[in-house]
Amino acid sequence: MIWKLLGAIFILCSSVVAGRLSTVDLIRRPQQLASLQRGILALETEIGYGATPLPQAFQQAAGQAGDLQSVFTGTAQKLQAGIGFTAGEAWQKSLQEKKNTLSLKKDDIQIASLMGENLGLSDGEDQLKRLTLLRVRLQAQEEIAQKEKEKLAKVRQSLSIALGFVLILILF
Amino acid sequence: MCTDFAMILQFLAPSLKKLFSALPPEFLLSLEEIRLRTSQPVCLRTAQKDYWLNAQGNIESSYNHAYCLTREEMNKTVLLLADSSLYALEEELRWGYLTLPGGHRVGLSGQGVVGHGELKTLKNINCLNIRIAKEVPGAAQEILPYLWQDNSVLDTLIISPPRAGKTTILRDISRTLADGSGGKIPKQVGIVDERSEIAGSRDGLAQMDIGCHCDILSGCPKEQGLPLMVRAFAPDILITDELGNPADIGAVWNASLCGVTIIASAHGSDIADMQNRPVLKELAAAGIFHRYIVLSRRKGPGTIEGIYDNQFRQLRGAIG
Repeated sequence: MIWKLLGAIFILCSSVVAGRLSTVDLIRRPQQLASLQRGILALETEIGYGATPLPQAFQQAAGQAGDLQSVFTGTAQKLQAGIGFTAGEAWQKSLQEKKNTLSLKKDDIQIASLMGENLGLSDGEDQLKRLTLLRVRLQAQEEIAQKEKEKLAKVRQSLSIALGFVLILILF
Repeated sequence: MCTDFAMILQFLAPSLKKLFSALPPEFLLSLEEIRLRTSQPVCLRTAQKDYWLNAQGNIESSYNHAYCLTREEMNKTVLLLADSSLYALEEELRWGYLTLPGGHRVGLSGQGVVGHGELKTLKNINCLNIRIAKEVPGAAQEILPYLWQDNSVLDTLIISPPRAGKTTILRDISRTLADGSGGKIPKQVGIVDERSEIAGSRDGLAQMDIGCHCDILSGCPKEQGLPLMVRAFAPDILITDELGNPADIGAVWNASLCGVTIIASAHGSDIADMQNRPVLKELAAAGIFHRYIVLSRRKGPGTIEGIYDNQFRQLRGAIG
């Protein structure tokens, strides 16, 4: 009897953990989209107020970019290495290198990639307009991700626990 | 490959860099300018003549088989030169040039963006002129004896057409006077380097040897820079490049009244040329300068065509 009880507890705990794991990306995605926006905002500050060149601006903004810090740092390192990368190329390459470690969806990555286009190629005013526009698009993605999280996270966790109970009933 | 040229290469688009890497080192020593124009042959200028780069990275005497620069290569080169941050170079774009580490100057041209009747910036940059800076220690050796009188340095104007070595000579004069070479007491030298060309400054730091008793103010207009240096650094000698704006007259005149010796340069081909140019004519009439040095490229950059006193009497004719 004791073994059955222990088995049932184990299955129940596992289903809770599995439920949590299945929602990790759902929870992290809006957080990472918000981090990306903070990083871009920091980049805007560096460009707008200090006219800081992008290698240093990316390095400075990395501190604000949370989970995406490595993408910002990677871009700065590629630019500082003097190996012929433009800022756009360095950003897109860093994003591609790190995308598998992030919880962002394909759409999010595509929007983030757009930052590489025309990056550093025009005057400060134009750069700021482009970055602001990009943040607006990312904010919209974040809202969608937030709704998805609220809707699906509870469903997945409840479903996982329910499956755990079903399994207990079948087995015992 | 010389280190200086390897440094320039890192600012070229990778495909272009590959072509330049094949150039023979002895040719690089004589290279003065690289002219890049979108969809046009890549031109390499030496003191003697112009050459062209072909698709194999060899030099050609004729442009018939020369390699033509693509728009992508131009855009990428511009981005690499600008550290991928054109917005950070708005002032430089307005001036039409920027300075690379090592003091190499890059002239830029393309489409002007004008606002309120003034050039705001450049866009669609399609022409680049990379001028390779070279230090020539001793370039001013033949001139220096004419600059001294009773242990004082005389106010001097160097007159020369473009690419005839006036900046190189100004730099060597600075180095010699600020180091106190030749048994002379070192002078406190101030350089107002509006185009960051004399000292080859990058981020305010001199990339060339301009002497140990020398202070530099780079990227600042002469009319503001000259009084600033007089106030802040009390120099014995002020050196500045390319006088020509009406505002320069007052600044040079005021600095001279403060007892500072002025050594400057101006564009021109001879004394008569100088006397016909409005600003230079006024400076000459004001009697600020006591020596006029005329340079040309007749026998290569830095050829001395004549040295004159304040009455325009020739003290020495063509040298070399």
